[in-house]
Amino acid sequence: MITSIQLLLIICILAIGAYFYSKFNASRLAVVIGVLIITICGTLIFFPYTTTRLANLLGAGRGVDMLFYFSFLLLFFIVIKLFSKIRKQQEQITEIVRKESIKDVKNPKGPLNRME
Amino acid sequence: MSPYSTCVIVPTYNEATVIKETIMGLLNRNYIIIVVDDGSSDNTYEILYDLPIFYLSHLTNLGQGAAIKTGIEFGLNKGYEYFVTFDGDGQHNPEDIKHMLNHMIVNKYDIIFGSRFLTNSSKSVPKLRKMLLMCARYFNFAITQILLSDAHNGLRTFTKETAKLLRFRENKMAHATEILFDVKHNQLKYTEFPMQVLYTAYSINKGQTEFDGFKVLQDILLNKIFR
Repeated sequence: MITSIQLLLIICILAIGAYFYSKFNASRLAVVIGVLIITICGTLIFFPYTTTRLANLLGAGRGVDMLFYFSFLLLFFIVIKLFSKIRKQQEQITEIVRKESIKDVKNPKGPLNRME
Repeated sequence: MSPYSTCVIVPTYNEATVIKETIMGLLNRNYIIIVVDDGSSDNTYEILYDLPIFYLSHLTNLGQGAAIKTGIEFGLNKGYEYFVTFDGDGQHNPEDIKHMLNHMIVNKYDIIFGSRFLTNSSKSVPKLRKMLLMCARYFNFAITQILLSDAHNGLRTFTKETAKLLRFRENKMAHATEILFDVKHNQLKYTEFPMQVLYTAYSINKGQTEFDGFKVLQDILLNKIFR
């Protein structure tokens, strides 16, 4: 018996999979990784108790709780990584814009003319 | 000290209506002027193109900190002895520069910060702005151990040696706090100097909003987190 949350989750996972498939270059490796991820997600969605044994080993109670903790950590890490990447890129853009503006100084003799 | 050894860096962003007046005030005092147009979309260049100034323009809007740093780099390349940062919105009085520079040279300071709170002109500072600056002041003190009476003032003078040491990276307004990190890190000799800030309807409208204070805070925190 499929519950509505399972149905909803599997639709979301398939939709995300389809989105990535349309965005990324459909190489064999990408397809393999995508199918693998969907299979893992599907297993976790339809057999949630498979994770509970591992969770019990770690002392996390339910498998869903353990997944929640780990996905939170993973997302947090990704956000920090992105922030740091954006800042680095911003610094590079600044450097390029600065170099360009110094190279292209308008009126480069202006103040010198006045001194002569 | 010859005024020709001093470059005044004027960062500007869409200030076409007041920029000419600001620049003329400086030209009348014979300073070398480096205008850094931070990606203005108005006709700033058309207004300034025939004036005897250096005109640098950013391809895109990066922020006041980035514009000032571009000006500093350019000024260092040109070999000027003294550096001044001066807002383009007509808030500052060009007459203050001379006094600040004299004070810096005579007393061998590395950097001098303008302060609107050391003069009577502080009475004209809007109330909310005053409160915000007060918070910024103690925030700056908490993280840099430098307590200035005016936390975010665009008028500063510094020497060539100091200019080489300023390594601030923040493109937006947080550079004002970052400069204090540089001062502390390099143990620079600094002081504050009374200056006038003219609050016109234009500058209040154009300047930082009270809400921007939170953005500055966020930038500084990110700056501290990501080295």
